[in-house]
Formats: sequence, C-alpha cells, structure tokens
Amino acid sequence: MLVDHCSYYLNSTWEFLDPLDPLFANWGQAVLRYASYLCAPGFLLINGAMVWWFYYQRKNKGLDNWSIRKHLIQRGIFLIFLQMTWVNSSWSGFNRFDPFHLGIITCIGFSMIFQSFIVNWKWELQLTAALGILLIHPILIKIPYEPGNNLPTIFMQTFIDAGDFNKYPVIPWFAVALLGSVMAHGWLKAWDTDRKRIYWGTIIGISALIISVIIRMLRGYGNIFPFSDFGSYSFFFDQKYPPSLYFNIWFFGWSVLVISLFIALSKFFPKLFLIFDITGKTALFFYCMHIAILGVFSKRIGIYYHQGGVLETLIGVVIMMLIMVPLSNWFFKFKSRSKNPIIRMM
Amino acid sequence: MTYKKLIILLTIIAQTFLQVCSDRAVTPSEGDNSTIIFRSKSEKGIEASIIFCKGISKKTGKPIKADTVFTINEKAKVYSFVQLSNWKLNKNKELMFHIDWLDSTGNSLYKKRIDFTPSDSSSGFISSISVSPEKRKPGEYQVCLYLFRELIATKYFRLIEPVIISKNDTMNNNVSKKKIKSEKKDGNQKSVKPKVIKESLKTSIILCKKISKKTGKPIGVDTIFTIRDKAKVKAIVNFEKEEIKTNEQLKFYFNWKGPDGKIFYKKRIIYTTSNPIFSLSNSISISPEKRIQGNYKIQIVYKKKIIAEQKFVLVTPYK
Repeated sequence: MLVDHCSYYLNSTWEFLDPLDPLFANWGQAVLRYASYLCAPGFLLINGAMVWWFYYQRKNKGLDNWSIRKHLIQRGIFLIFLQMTWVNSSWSGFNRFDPFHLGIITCIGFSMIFQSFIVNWKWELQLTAALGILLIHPILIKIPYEPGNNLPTIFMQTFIDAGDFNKYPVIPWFAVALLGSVMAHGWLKAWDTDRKRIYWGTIIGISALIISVIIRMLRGYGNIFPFSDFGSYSFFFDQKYPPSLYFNIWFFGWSVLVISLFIALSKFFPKLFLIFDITGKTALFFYCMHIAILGVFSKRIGIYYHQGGVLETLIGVVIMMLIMVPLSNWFFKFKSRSKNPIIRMM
Repeated sequence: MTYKKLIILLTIIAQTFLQVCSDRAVTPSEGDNSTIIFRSKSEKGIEASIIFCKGISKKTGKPIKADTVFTINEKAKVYSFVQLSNWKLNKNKELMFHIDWLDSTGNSLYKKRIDFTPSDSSSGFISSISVSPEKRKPGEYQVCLYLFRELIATKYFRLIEPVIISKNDTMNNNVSKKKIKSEKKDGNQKSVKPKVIKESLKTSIILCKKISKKTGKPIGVDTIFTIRDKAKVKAIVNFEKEEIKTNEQLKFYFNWKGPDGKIFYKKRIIYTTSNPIFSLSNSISISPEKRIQGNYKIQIVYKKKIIAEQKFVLVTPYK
C-alpha cells in the first residue's frame, strides 16, 4: 500500500497511468504496480477476520448479537464518513473537499456492516455465501448502464462495477471479507497451534492459487483481460477494478500464504515483525496519515510530485517508514490511554 | 541466516522471477523506420514497426507521405500505421494491443485498445490524431505500442508550425559562422546587449542528418539517430524576432546534453540581425567512440534563458 501510494505521488509514470487499464514501459514499473494488488484483498481478508474475532470476543463477554452488531455498524458508518471527508480530501493534500466519491475505506465500512449480520453463521455457510457471490459477480458486471453523474452509476459503482465514482465495489470485496471470516475460524479457533495454522494456511493458499490458475488458463468465465502465455505479465495482470473472479481467488491465495509466511518468519525474526506489529495496531491511522503527508508535501507543496521513477519511489517508501513507524508508535500509546470513541476506532 | 542475506536472497529470487515474466528485451534496439523496438524474447513473438504519415491510401491501404515531422494545420491528421511481423504465427491467439499517443510532456493524449480475435486476418492497424492548431502545440510527440500491457515499440514525431528555410537564412547562417570564426581570431570581442526589455523570439528546432547543399533544406529529419562512424546530428534553429535593430548582436548558446543530463558540448553563436526571420545551425558527431545510446537533448539559450529545446534519441545500429 505504502509502495503504491509513494509511487502515485513520486513516480512520473502516474502522469499517464490509467489504473483501470494500466500499461507499463518496463518491468520495474509493472512490479511496482503489481505489488499493490495484494493490498485490497489483504485488507478485506484481515478486516473480515477481525470482525469475526471482535464478534466472538464480545460474545464470550456475554454481549447479545444486536449490541455487537450495533458497534460494528457504527464502526462501518465511521469508516464511510472517514473516507468521504478526510481520506478523499487528503489525496489532494487538502486542496479541495471532495466527499462525493467512494474508495477502499468505504468498501471496508460497507463490508463490515453487511458482515455484522452474518458473522454468527457457521463457517461452511459463510464460505458458500462468499463463493456464491464471487461466482455471480462476473454476471453482475455485465449489467448495462450509462456512466455519468446519475443514480445508476452511483448504485452500480458502489456495489458492482468500478469507475470514477468508486474503484472498490462492495459486492466482490465483501466476498473476500467473508473468506477472511472463514479463515479466522481456522486461525483463531480450529487451529490451536502455529504449526497447524501454517500447515492449513499453506494448503488453502496453494489450493486457491491452483484454482485461480485453472480459471485463468481456461480463458473464459472469471477472466476479464486476455493474456499472452502462462507466466507472462499479462497472465498475472487481470482486472482489479472491479476484480475478476481469477483476481480475487488468486490474491486470496497469496494473502493466506503471506500470512502463513509471516507466522513462520515471526518465529525466526521477531524484531523484523515489530514494524508490522506497530503499524498493524494503528492500521487506519497509518492509512489516513501517510496519504495526508504525501498529499500535502508532494501534491500540494510539489516536492518531487510525479518526477521520479522506481528508485525514487522506493526511497520515498523508506523515508515514509521512518516517519510513520515512530508516529504510529506514538499514536498507539496515545490511543491506549484515550477514552475518546473516535480515537479508539482509529 | 541474517536479515541481510534473507533480503538479498528474496530480491534475487523476485528479480529473476519477474524478469522471466517479461516477454520483451530490457534494452531497446532500432528497427525498421527508426521505430524503437523492445524485441520479443521468443522467435515467434510479435514485433511491430510504426510509420507516421499524413494519410492512408483508400486504394492500397498504404501510408501516404510518410514522415516524422508534420505541420500543424486545420483538418490535418497524423496517422500511425502499425505493421506487425510474426502475426501469422500467432493467428490462433487473442491479441490485446494498446496504442498510446503522448504529447511533449509525456501526457497521454489518446489511448486506444485494439483486440485481435483468432479469426482476424489483419497484419496491422491504424490509429490517428488530429493536429489542428486548436488541439496541438509544436513539440515532440510519441506513440507507444503495447502488446498485453508490455511496451513493444515506440516512435517519436514532431509537430511544427510551418517553417520555410530560405536561401537568405542559409546565407545568414553562413555569415554568422564567419563572424564567429573572425571573433575567435580577434580574441574576446564582447557582444553589445540590446536594450529591448520585452521582445518576442519564436523558435523551432529541426534535427536532421545534414543539409542539402543544393536546396539548403534538411535531409533526414528525425528525432532518432543511429550511432555510426562519421554520422552527425545537425540542429537547425529557426528564429523569428518581431522587432529587430540593424546590426544588433544576438548571442545564443547551443547546449548539447547527454543521457546523464550534463552538457557535453556548448557552442556560442552570435547572430548580427538583418532579417526578422533567420536560422542558425550547429552539429555534433555521433560516432560510436564519442556517443552512447540514450536520450539526448539540445537546448538553445538566449540571455541565460532556455528559449527552445528538443529531445532526441541515439540508438545503436540493429544487428
């Protein structure tokens, strides 16, 4: 995410890169863009898992379904509000107030609200619902509408399609959140040791990758962009906005594998994962702040805005990490002490 | 295993894996018609050449008046005629092309996706943009051709306002050259700065291989040149100064910049005004001993300000 956002502000390729139909002048630029493709599936997957964890944690404390649901709905609405106010404006360095479009944070907010109603379902049912939605979505994309400032556009791009109003439609990403809820059942309940978590995570991750490769190789249902050959760039670059069936299953597989890898590596390199631990505990704060900093300093003030390349982007990532890790650490301590409900939701 | 070793190992694995994913060579080479080509790693891979032209023959479907320099005009268009090679070997495949027209600042003017289905029998396609004065400004434009999102070919062309290189201009050019030579002999002769505060000086640069001795017109106008023994790149700069004073001395610097962005050759040319329209020229050698492949630039500096610049590319001959 940070790599992609640094690229968005510092990399000259974004002068003309169309994220809905990306073209790449070299493999470095292609990799830089592709690295970010893991973020949205990862966010939704982890968010789905966190909703599951929150629900059962509160349930064990004796809270009833509706009071837990109420909290999740409140949090979902807060995320939608946050996107439309802070996040949307921060992209331009607060140069303009631009509430009337949606993004990844609203998508997570809507998913949280929807998930609050079915998080107590059995994992088999949630899995069936998730796969059902993923399978039906390619048909829904074909619903015709005239893009513009009209209600059909708002409806279609909020839930199904992607465009200027919203790149992250709720329906396909909600399915990924549901898969996260299913995985949480394994990670936090069924698999009681790290060994089991790594084992099953690897099995599920690789199975998802195999299924997605089969879908891609068949070149039919679930594919959006054509590709040249197996293993080429175009093979991996299927449509992200909105995601194809291949895209969602492929990145679900990778997200699960990366989480398994993190569980394994954290045993050997615990200090390395302190960075992820700090930023993970204040993920929303990290997201909101890093865009704001980049937006103000790069876009608004004009420091290296769209002037660099791959190397400059990576230098930007290092600089931003040096800023954001201590800032997130400070915010975590502040948040732990604070009783303000908004601060605690960040 | 230390962190450092782990990071190095992961970087090597990732780099190897990702480079293998690319269908194209990392370094470009010059193909037909000065098209810069990123060649396919596979012998059966599709390659493309781009021809710019003013029109397409309705009878033959072939390009009319192919060139790389076009004049901005009402109702005029620049066509990009893309010819594919090895397409027969890929006839049974679905092919996804993108053609992207970029302006001199690198902004995409127009992008088009062209899909070939297995039933298609075409060996190329055409794309065009309008070059009317309302829509386009003089400068260097570029067409990038992508196959399955990877850049496979690119070519530059230039849009100019109508320019006439008269015999007088060539004479002026010669006069100025003689003047410079005599100045060198005379030592440090300082030029007199004109007292004009606001002055309009229109410029346009044409890069070519040489100037015809007979007609005085540029030969081999292009923005891409091949490094060869005895080859040169000549810059002809056309100036138009609305208000001139007789015998006013205008001092210009021709700064030639290399791929590293540094000036490798700087030439001072003093022009003594006699005509509001005049042209000056300067050239550099592009022999393999002196130059390397890459993006170059010539800048015209007047009164410490860059008044015109032109990018060009030097490429090694395709073997």
